[in-house]
Amino acid sequence: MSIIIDRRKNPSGKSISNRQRFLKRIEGQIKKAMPGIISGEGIKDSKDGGAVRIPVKGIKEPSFRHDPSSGNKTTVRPGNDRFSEGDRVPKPEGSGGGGSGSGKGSNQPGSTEDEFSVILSREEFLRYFFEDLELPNLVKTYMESAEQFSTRRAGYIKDSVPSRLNVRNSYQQSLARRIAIQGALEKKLSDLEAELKKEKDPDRKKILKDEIAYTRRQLETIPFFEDLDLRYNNFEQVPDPATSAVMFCIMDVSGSMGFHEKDISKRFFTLLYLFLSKQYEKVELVFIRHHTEAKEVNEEEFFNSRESGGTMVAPSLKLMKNIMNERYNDSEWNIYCCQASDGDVWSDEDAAQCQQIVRDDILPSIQYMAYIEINDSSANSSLWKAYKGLQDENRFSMRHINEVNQIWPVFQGLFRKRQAMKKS
Amino acid sequence: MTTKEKYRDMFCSPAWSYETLLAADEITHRIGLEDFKLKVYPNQIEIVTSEQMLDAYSLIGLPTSYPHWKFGKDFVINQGNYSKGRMGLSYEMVINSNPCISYNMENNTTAMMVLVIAHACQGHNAFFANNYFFREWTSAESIIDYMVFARNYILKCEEEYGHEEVEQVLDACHALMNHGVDKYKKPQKLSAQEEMERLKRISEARRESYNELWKTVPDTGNEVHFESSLGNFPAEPEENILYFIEKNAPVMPGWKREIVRIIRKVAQYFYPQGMTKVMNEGFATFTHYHIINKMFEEGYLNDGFMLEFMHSHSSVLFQPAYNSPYFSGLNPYTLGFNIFMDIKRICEQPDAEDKKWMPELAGKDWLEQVHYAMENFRDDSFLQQYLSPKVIRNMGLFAIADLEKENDYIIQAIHDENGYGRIREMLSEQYSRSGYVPDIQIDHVELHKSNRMFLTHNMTNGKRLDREEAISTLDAIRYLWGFPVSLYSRNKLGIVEDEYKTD
Repeated sequence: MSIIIDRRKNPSGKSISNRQRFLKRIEGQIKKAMPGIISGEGIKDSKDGGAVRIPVKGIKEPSFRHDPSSGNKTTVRPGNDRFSEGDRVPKPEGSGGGGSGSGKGSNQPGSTEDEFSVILSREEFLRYFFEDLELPNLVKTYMESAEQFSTRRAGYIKDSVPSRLNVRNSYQQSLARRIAIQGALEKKLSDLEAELKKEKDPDRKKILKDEIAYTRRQLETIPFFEDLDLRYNNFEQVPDPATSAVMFCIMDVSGSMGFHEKDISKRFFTLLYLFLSKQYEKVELVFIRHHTEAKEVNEEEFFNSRESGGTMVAPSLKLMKNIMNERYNDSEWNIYCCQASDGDVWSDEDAAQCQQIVRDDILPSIQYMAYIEINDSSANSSLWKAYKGLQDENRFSMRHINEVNQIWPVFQGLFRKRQAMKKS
Repeated sequence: MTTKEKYRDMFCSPAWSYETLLAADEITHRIGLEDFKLKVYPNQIEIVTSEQMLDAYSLIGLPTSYPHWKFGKDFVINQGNYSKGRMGLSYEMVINSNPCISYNMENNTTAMMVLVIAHACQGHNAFFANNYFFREWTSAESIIDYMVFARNYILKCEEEYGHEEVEQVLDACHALMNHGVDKYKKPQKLSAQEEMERLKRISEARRESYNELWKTVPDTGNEVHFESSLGNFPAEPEENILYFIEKNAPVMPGWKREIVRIIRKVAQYFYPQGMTKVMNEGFATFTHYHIINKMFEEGYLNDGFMLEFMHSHSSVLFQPAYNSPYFSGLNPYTLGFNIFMDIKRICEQPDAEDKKWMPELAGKDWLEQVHYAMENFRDDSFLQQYLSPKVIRNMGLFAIADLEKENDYIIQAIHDENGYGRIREMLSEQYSRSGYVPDIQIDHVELHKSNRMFLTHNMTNGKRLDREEAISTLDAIRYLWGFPVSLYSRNKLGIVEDEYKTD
């Protein structure tokens, strides 16, 4: 009789590992398609989106094949409704002639296409997206100002509290002691008995017999446990480097920022937000919008509000400084800042003030700051010039973005993985 | 309630259960055996979800296989097509193994389940078990175990030698899979004792036929001298490229040889399937048609079932005409089924035309003849032998010639007295392997010098190789062989038309 097996409950995903191998093969193509995806609308709804479809060209699987445009071929086709032998039918322009007809039955897998789409789950997509990126200088090495400690095992110690008693080690010590003492006593006993045999003098004999009896009693009463046997687990304190981070997002929403500029800055911050929430568990985000005034807002308002006004940048930096002092102690937090503006400030004093605040108050306390200028002109704005003096690739980066397709390369440039840098 | 009534209720209810499947298997098996003399392997029927069916597609039905990105790619394509609705999943998939494993979709209706059990577990199964091509070239008992071995071996190699290298070897072997099959059995090496006996027999024969008279024949002076040692290597051209590489690559490590051998064996396993598609599907359809009708006759099925069956059966057999927007080639189910039904018709009621074209069939026992056809032919020989004028007329077959030099297609033959023979020949050629796998053989190797391998492509019908693909495949051979490789395309006069080489 035949066997019937219900495989439906089997763990699924027989093809998962093969699919992964295939994705690895076309990694290059996926990465090339990234900028296209970002420029598209999909990135905007960052919270929970569906899967992403990426068009790829299949990988060639070569083999020896006939060139379809060469040679003489005869094909048999069904359904003749008008032809007789010898009829001629003009060939279509430019094509190499039809295929031959071993048709497909209903249980043939789909035909190979040269171009098709790979559907990546959100997770996989973000993984490729942010593969080589990280927040720079994240792990501070702490000598002085570590506030967090964690406890860690560190061997054994001879005296501690009873709850930390390590029974096994204590027993080992006790066993060793007992064996050693027993050995010594037994040797002493056998020596004494040998001496007794040889001894003639009765007084000496009595003394020896007493000693033998005493030694025997000692052998029988070796203590099982003594205080010096006991061993306790030892712990030590180890400083925890702080890996919690906070990112200050400063976005200029003044009137001088047109729709295009605002769009680019929004996309940039969306990307940043996705990056941080995917890669790091504990990242806090502080959103600051400014036109003439600076205001801390929540995420909803940051991305969606429609306020506008003139441009003054210095208040936003002042606000950031205040928040830093109030809430984010720089010894516990890694502080990052990302500012986007079109650089068109109200006055040169404003620019000078910005430079001063950044240089004196902000840069010393933070790990990394990035300034993005979004404008069309290649002429540098006053803010750009003001910041230029402070530029330093590892602490403060400045970039220009003009078009949407530049967002991704700039982002990559800002956050690419760097060699580990120790801060002593 | 008798068993029959119980079974009928089960078969005719919309939902199926294990009992339904067991009953279907029992009845189809009995009818297949008693009424149609089908000898089959034991069946293993597996119920799968659609995702598992997609897995099965990419692994070509094998329950386990070595890991490779090509299966991932097929999976992604099929999954994409299926989820976009461009492709439907088939109702079942069956493989050539003993026990014969068939995958059935969980959301088939009862009627479909009974149908596919008749189709796959009796029809395809009998074909795999009895057709000479499958019996000779595949080992149904051992394929599953072999694939388990292959998978473990390749995983171990990946661990030891790294993913990239193993992948490179596999990629190169895949490129040569079509040229890694034996098409004839190589003679076994004789054992020492057998060799001795053979020599003894030859010398006996010589002694017995010795005649002094031959010594009086004058010496003509042009005796054939056999070339000594430095003859051609290989002595005769070898068409199984993977086999040659496996046995003779000068500097290939043992584990790579084993991988080449694995791919070669897998290619050999699949070799008959490509060349018997029409017969296999035709025979299975023919079988399920007769079994279901017999079940209806015996009272196991009702009209509702038969309506659903006929709808499915006719959809499967639908053959769009050449100018229909749905045309995608000749439907093997249609072609095979029509021919088998025609064999039956000619046996039972031959007319004058049949007696002229198929005298060996007219009036014989149809079951015997169908079995004979199923067991002893493959697609090209089957069509050559059994395609009758009636089927050609019914299907409206006609032959189109696409000549390179001409600007028009020329209709070479249609379904008239002149054309039947030629259509039969041309259709048979269409299904012959040489039509789509180029004839490439290893001609010789410059042993001990450059170790360069020379391959010859014998052009048929003036067809040249696709240049880019040939160069990529040649690189694959170069990688495996380890030394330079050259390929010459010769036309039928022996003149080289194309040349490809690597260094």
